[in-house]
Amino acid sequence: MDRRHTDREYEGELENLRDHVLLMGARVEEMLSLAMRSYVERSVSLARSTMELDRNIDQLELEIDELALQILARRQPVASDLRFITTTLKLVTDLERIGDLGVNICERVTELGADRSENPHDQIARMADAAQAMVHDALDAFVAGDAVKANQVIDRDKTVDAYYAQLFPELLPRMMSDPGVVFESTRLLSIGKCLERLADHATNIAEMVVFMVKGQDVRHSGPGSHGYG
Amino acid sequence: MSMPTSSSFFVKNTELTAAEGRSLQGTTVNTGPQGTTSKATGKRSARSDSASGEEPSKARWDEVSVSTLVPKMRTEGLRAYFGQAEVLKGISLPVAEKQVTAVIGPSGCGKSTFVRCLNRMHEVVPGARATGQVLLDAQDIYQADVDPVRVRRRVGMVFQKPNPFPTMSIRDNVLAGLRLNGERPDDPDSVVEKMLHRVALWDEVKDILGRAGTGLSGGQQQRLCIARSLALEPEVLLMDEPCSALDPIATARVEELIHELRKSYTIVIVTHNMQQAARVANFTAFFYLGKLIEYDRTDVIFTRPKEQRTEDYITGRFG
Repeated sequence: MDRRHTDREYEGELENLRDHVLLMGARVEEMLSLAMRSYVERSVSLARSTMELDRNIDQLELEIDELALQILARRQPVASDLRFITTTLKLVTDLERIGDLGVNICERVTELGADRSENPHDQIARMADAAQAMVHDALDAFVAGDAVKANQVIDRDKTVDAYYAQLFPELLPRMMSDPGVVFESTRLLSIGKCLERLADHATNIAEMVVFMVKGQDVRHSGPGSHGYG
Repeated sequence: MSMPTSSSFFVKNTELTAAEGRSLQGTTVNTGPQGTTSKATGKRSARSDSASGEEPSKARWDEVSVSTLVPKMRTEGLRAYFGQAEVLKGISLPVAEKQVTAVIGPSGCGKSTFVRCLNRMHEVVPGARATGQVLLDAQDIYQADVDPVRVRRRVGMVFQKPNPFPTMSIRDNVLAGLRLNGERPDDPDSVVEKMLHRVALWDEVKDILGRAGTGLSGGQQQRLCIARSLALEPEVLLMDEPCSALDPIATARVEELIHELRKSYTIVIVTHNMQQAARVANFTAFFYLGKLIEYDRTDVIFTRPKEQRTEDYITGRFG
C-alpha cells in the first residue's frame, strides 16, 4: 500500500494496525526460535521461559482485533483497505495458534528433560527450519504485499508435510525394537505434528496475503491443498 | 439488506484469472465469465438449502454478472457540453434492466450531467447539448423525431432537494405529473393511494391528503416526489443525490424504497455517498473528469476494483 490516504488520521490508524501485526509476527517468530533452541539444547528452563511469551502474543491478538474493529466501525473501509483489515483479522488467529503450537513444543521439551536417544533429531530440525522459514516468509510477503512470495510459501507446505510423513516410519521400528525410546519418540512425533500444523498456519497466512494483494481467494483450490484451516 | 452480501467477497482464483476485461474507450468494464455468479450462488445456497431441502434459489440481485445483464438503456460515445466545455467525454455504459446502477465520482466528474442526458433534461439548460447515442430499449432518444416530453415520461427523475409543489396538497402533488401531461385519471383517488403505498407513505399521510406537501418532513417530501414520478408509470427512474438532504433514518427509508422499486423499475442513482452506492446498487460506475473509469458489479468495485483511480477514490486516497 504505497499511496496515502487524504485523511492522515485514517492512514495512521491503518499503519498502527499494520505495526501491531508486525510486532505480533516478530514475537511469534522469536518464540518459535526459542522453542526450537530449547528442544535442540534440551533446556527445560528455556522451554519454560519461552512459554511465558505466549501471554504477550495473546495480548497482541486482542489489541489487533480491537484496532481492526474500530477501523471497521468508524471508517467503513473498502477495496484494498477492506482486504487488508479482513486479512489482518484472520491472520492474527493463525499467528496466535502458531504461538500456541510453540507452547506445545515447549511442553514436550519439558517432558523430554535432558535425556537424548538415537532418534532422528535431524529430521525434526529440518522440519523446524522449513516451517519457521515459511512463517517468516509469509509475514515478509504480508509486509511487502508480495503475492509471488506468498504463493511460494504455499508451495512449500508439501515439503513439510513430506518430512512429517517420513517421521513416523522412521520412529516406529525403533519403538518396536526398544521400548525405552517410546516415551521420547511419542514426544518427537508430537513436536513433528506441531511443526506440520505450524506450516499449515503459515500457508493460511500466505493464502490470505494473496487475497489481500490480488483479491483472489486461493484457499482450498489446488491439489496441494491441505484441506484444513 | 444493507451491505452487498457478497458471496464472492472471496473470489475464487479461477474467477479472476478467467475474467476478461472489455475496454470501452479507456474504461474497465469487467465482464466476469458466465457461471461465475452461479458458482457463488451455489456455494451459499447449498448451505441454506441443505437445511430447508428446497431447490437452490435463483441468483440474488447482487450476483448478476456484468456479462449477462440485460440493458434497459445504453449510452454509446455520449458527449455532453455546456457551451464549449465538454463535461462528458464519450461515455459508453449499459444500464441494467430492473437493477440499481449507481454513478459515483468526485464533484464535477459529470455524473449528474450523465443522468440528465438519460432523459434529455441536459438540453433544457441554455447552451447545453449532447452528442452520441442514448438508447432506451434500442431506440436512440436523441433522434430528431423523438419527443423529449415522451422520453421524460418513460424515464422519470427525482432530484437532490425534495421539491413538492408548494401550493399543492399531498394528493395533488401525486397527481401533478399526470395533470401536467394532460391526463385525467378515471379514479384519481386510487392512483394517489396506489402511488403512496408504493413509496410506503400511505400510512403516514392517508388522513392528511389535503394538507400541503411542503408540510411533510424532508424524507416524506422526497418519497412524495418519488410517488409523483411513479404516477407517470415510468420504466426508468433517475435519482440525483436523492438522500443528500435527508437524515439517516429518512435515508434508510428511501434506500429501503429503492430496494422495493427495483423489482419494477430500472434505477440509476447518482450519489456522493459511496456507502450508499455500496448498500443499494447492483452495479456501480465510477466517473472521473467526464470519463467512465470503471464499471462493474458493486461488490467487485468495493472489494477489488481493477483501476487504480477507482481504488484511490473509494478508499479516500484522492488528490
